[in-house]
Amino acid sequence: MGERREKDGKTKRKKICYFTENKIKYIDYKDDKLLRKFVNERGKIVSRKISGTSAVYQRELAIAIKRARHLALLPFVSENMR
Amino acid sequence: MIPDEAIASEFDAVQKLIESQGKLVKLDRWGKRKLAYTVRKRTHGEYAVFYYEAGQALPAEIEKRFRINENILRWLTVADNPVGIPADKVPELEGAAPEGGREGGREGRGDRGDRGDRGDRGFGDGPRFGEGRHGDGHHGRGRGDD
Repeated sequence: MGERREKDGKTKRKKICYFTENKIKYIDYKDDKLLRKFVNERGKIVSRKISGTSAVYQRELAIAIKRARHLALLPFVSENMR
Repeated sequence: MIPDEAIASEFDAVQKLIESQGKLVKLDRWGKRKLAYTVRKRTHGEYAVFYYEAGQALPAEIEKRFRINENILRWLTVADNPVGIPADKVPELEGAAPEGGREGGREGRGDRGDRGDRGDRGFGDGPRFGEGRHGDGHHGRGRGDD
């Protein structure tokens, strides 16, 4: 279940939205530990396509990440994180 | 590097200001924390969140002071549900919206501070997002080019 075979033979796993899954109502900009899961090593926001986040949460997430960046909780750019 | 007493007095000043015109619901002090990037040549900051209820004038006044105060590197004021109460259960929301006043990156304290691990410049979309991936977090490739 959750895997289906594409035309080109690759298997695709169904992605699960982290926030829906964990029933998170509000994405907190102060929770940088959580937000770090959704940025890559460069500090860029991970796309929905990769992370599987639902559209509603992706929008909230983007705002939270940007707030966190402003407060220097998250980097705008980084070569390596953590 | 700002002495502890100076930090304490800064917090007191904000607290007093809030209490003079509104209600401080909660003060959440995080303590000293490393900044994600340097701000005015500072690598560390003292963080705190002020949750308060007030009208429109107070946040404006607070922000005005923050702007002037050079010890305050960053701040953010957002209208918020007080202290994690779900939106539909917020007690008095009418009129003056409760403010989750937040004061960020205060008192960036100088001194170089740790200059953590370098190296590893993984390219773009490294699989950072780790759902179900083992050991969430540490990317185990220390290449260190340059």
